[in-house]
Amino acid sequence: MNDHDDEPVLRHIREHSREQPGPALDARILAAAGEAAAARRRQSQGFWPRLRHALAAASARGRWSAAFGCLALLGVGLGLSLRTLEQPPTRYDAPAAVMQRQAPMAVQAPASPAPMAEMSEAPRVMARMAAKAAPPPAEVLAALREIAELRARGEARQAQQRIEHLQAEHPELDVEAQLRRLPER
Amino acid sequence: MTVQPPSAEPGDADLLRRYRAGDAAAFTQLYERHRLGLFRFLIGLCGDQAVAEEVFQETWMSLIRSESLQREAAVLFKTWLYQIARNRLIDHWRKQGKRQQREEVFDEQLHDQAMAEPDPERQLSLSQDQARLQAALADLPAEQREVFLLRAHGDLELHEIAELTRTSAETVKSRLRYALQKMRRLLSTAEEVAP
Repeated sequence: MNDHDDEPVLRHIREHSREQPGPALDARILAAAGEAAAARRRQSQGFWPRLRHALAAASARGRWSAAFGCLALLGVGLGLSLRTLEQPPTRYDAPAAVMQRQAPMAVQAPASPAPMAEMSEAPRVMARMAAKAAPPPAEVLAALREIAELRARGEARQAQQRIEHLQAEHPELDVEAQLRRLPER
Repeated sequence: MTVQPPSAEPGDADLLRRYRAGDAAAFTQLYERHRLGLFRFLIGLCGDQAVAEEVFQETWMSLIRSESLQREAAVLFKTWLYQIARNRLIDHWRKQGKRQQREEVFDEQLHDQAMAEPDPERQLSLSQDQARLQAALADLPAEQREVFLLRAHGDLELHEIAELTRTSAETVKSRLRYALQKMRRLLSTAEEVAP
């Protein structure tokens, strides 16, 4: 409708209307629009800018809480991992990988009724392993042959004395083991 | 009153597109452009400040929440905005059960007849322009009032009002003509009798 007669009436209505939304209502709507626009901007950003924005927007208390929370989580995770590694599986059907991981520990400290006794045996075991690795010196070898001959002749007492003497000279030596390994002449 | 933006200023569709991309300033511009017209349309239609504010807020919030560009772009933004406001107000009336009181059977022939003169005593009591306008609007049948308000405050063209109210352009034209005649008479009479 573009009648010129109507324009004065419309203009009069427009000029004399005074109603308007309250400032609080304006503020509510504009704030909601601002938040929605900010959310849209964040959606269009990548992960790191969004994370940085979230951290920047958070209060100082919130940031500290998040930091302590992360630390606590890390600590609990680490503790659980160590605890799991220390405990050998008790089930026979444990996965092979787990058993293999536990094997070195089992060799060094096997579960036994007398762990302390086993620990006292450690030097002897080490000596045995060393003896296997290198042949005994010539004088020791001669003494061992002498002992073997004494035993062969039935002179057990003299053989025992010789063993004690040799043991005193070489405390690390496992005489019986060396006698068993003595090559036949 | 809603003023048609000069050609140098961005159009409503452009502002809406920028807002959808995260530009809050574009929304502010859009809001400033349409807030008065929309609010005065609503308060003229319902005559209640609280209801007008509630519906006004819901209308803008639905625009804020909406993600779609297509729907608003398919029709003129302003038509869409006023349509949302109108639908929200009708929903409010339905909930309140007041719509029936306000709805009047529109009869072209009946409203074509000369209107009875307003009570001079009543007009005398309406000392303020705003109150006089409100009273004149209240005297209009609901359909005429709606068309008149969309034209006066929404600055909508006849075909846009027809689309919005889902009535024929001829009906809209007729309603607006009767509304303008009555408003002219009511206002001139009020000015004559006003002190």
